[in-house]
Amino acid sequence: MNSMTLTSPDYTLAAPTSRRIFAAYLTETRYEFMRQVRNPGVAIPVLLLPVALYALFAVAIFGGEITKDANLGIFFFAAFGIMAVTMPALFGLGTTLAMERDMGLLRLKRAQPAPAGAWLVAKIACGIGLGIISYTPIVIAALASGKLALDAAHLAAMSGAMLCGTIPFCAMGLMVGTLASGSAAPGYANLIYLPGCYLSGLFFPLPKSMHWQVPIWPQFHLDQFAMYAAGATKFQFEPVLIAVVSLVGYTVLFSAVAIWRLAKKG
Amino acid sequence: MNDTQTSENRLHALDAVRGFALLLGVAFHAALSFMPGWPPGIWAMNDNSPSQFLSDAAFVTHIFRMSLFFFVAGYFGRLLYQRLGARSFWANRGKRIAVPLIAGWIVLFPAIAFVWTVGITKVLGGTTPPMPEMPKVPGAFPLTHLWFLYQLLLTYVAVLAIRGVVAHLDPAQKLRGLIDKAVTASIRTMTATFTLGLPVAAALMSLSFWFYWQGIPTPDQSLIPQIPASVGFGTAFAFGWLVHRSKDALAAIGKRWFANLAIAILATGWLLHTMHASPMAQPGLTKTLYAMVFGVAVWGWVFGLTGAALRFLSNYSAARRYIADASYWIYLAHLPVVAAFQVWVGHWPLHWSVKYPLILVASFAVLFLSYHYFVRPTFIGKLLNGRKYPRKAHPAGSTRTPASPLPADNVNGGPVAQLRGITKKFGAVTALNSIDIEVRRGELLAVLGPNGAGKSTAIALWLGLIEADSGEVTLLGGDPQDVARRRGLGVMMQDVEMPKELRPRELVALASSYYSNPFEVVETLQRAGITQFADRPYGKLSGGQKRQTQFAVAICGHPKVLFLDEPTVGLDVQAREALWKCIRALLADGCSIVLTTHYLEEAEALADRVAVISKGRVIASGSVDDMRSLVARRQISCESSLTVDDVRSWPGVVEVSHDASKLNITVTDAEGVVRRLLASDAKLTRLEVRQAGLNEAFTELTREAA
Repeated sequence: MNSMTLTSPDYTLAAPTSRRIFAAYLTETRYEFMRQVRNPGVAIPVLLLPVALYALFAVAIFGGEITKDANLGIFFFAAFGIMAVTMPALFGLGTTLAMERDMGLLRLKRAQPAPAGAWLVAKIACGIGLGIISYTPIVIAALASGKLALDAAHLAAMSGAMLCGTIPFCAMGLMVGTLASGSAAPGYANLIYLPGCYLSGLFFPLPKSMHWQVPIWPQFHLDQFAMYAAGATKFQFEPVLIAVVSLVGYTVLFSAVAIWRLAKKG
Repeated sequence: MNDTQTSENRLHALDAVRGFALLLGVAFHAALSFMPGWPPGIWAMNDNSPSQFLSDAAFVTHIFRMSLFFFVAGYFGRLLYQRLGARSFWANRGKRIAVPLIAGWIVLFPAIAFVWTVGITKVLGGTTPPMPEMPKVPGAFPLTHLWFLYQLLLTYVAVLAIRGVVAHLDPAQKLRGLIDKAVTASIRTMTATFTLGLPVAAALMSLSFWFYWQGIPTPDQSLIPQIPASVGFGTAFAFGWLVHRSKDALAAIGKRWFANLAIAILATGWLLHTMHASPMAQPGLTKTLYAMVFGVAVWGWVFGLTGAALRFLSNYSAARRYIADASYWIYLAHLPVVAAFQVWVGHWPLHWSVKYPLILVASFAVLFLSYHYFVRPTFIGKLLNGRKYPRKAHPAGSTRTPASPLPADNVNGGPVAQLRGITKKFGAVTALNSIDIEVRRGELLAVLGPNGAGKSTAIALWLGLIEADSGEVTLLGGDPQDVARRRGLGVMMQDVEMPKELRPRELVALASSYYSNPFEVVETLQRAGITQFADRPYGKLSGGQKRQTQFAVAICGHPKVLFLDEPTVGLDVQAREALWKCIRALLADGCSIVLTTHYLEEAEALADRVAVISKGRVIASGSVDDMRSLVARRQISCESSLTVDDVRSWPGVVEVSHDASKLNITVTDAEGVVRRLLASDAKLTRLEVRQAGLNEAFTELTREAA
């Protein structure tokens, strides 16, 4: 009926414009974000828990002590700020990725002409975005209650440090998401995250006998990085360079495990 | 059938018993802030309205609740072990018991410690209590109320070790046969009620400090097994295990429920009376007697309550099932909740008869709501109870209609997708064996074949998800790994779930963003016929609606070639018709489609060409009519003196063979051949004519291909 008689015609399709590709990344990120916000299992604990705990401990319970010792205020702010920025990164990425693998969604995306890595960029952007949403109320609570004696420059530096610190936890989430099944991922994520929070000395000072093990936990290095940025010399226990190198090292390690596993199992 | 039903019913009763024991634990702990004479610090709160009545009630429930739980756990333990085998048993117990123990402790311990600190501070009038020291016992560890999970794990290890030894010593099951009979007899004669408590009585007698009220001391302070608890709960578990072994034991328990309850009540009355005279055990006759009667009370309650449940609660009830499912979560999570309410109401100027019910109602409300919304439909429910229940279930329609044929008028081009000489192996299994298939422009190729034939492997090759060991794969004139080619394809896979939080409209919009020239989202929704539910969350759609949404996602990119892997499974009549209509419209547009299916009728309704794959080879391909004639073959068998050679040349005969006594003839014209057979052999017997179904057609074709 038409003149097409080639045995193996070339059907190469025009590459989409860079605007379309950018739009595809944006759409992916937007829907990833909507998914997580609509999931009460992710949204409620991740977004409300850190600020609620901060209000409870730093304002209600230890408010008096903080007024006497400003350093204590920085300690609590760092602790719950880190909790706020890292939880969405780890749980948002880990749980959803593990579930998507179970659901066969990753296979489908590989078959579709989705821009390579769009899902990954979307997930990381979402982890950081939710981290900011979870972190902002803590800043507001801290400033409104006057429990944080930091000038604007130090607060900005500390916030920046903490947000950079989400990256290793995104990688940790990616690793959990590629190793565990959908139903087990939240459990495993908790198993590696919660002990880290307690044993890194994030929430309460540890006895001397336990100091040897704190460098194991990424939370410790992130805390150190944030303390350096805040200029809180009282809480600096390792050189900032070691903190940064450790965070980068963890990112590389977790990502490597995730990539190895994705390549092997898909 | 009857047997299975009866045993199912018994399980309902035992589930109810287990749920009862766990919920009773919540009521028990809720009473502990009202204990008269308890010094501050033993419990989170000392209420300003203590109650002797609640103290006695708590004592009574505490006699038996954990023994009852361990007895049922023993019964289910063996049931599970028999069903799963050792390996899966441990995997299952790891998930249901060990993970809740560890994860529960990590989450609950800080919460419990916090509520306790607040409560004791309140009791002491505002002074913060000093941090409690770790108890000075070996292996000290604050297990909290989760100790029962730890104890349960230890008990599994011990009982399975004993089981291993017994199985080794008693390979012919002689000893075990005797034990089974003894178990049933001891329940019938009620000697079990009086003797099973002896071991725990001996362990209790040997305690140097023993408050009668505490019964079997709770082993929540140490990781080292405590003797009274290990003996008491171990006996309960082991006897539950034996009851499962023994055929008639459960029925015997059901018959003796009343007598056992009566004994339990008498024994408990005596225990209460004695305890009121002297709460602390003094060495001597009373202590010995008390320990013995305590053992009788434990087993009277265990048998009495289990028997009553078997007698009255054996039928299925949705409400009881729900409560039984909820009870595990509720018991795990209850302690901080209950204690928080106790602390809250502790100084209110109200009588305990108001406050206690208030605590119970409020705690159960919180716990059941949390179960309903955060546990039952989520992974936690799956972890604790083995399955999760969607909050709302939609029945999926699956009625099918006869097919209507489609005029094949647009087969007009060269190949858009090809597999040439493809071999693909997975380990030792050859999924595809030098296969050649091509899809031409504007045609629908139906790939038919039984499960495991290699259909999905062929599609995965075209999608670029796997690579062939040898041969050449082309998609739209190039390598399918090349994203430029993949922009021309649409795909609907089997076993894919979309994110449940997003809506079909959003899923289509997201997939459309991957393509250069997609349909408008609204048009895709209309084509796929899903506009009606386009704004409902995917997780709330029925199975059929989910498939329709996946179909919409497959076509949204205006594809040149569309791969549909069993697209109509789970669709109702209208949805299937709508989907077929859309497929026809796409074909008319010039789209090529590869469709895998089990159903020949679907191929008949849509396909221009059909390829049949079996064991990694294309065993037949051709038009629908060719396939129809293949399947129209019939199989005649008979006993006859005619030989294979006589029949082979007859018109309508495809194949003839002879086995033992029978002549087997595959024919296209059964009536003609039968007429001629009867005419040629008057003594012909045992004549049978069978329609060859699709499966037989496959089998037959496979044999021909081999």
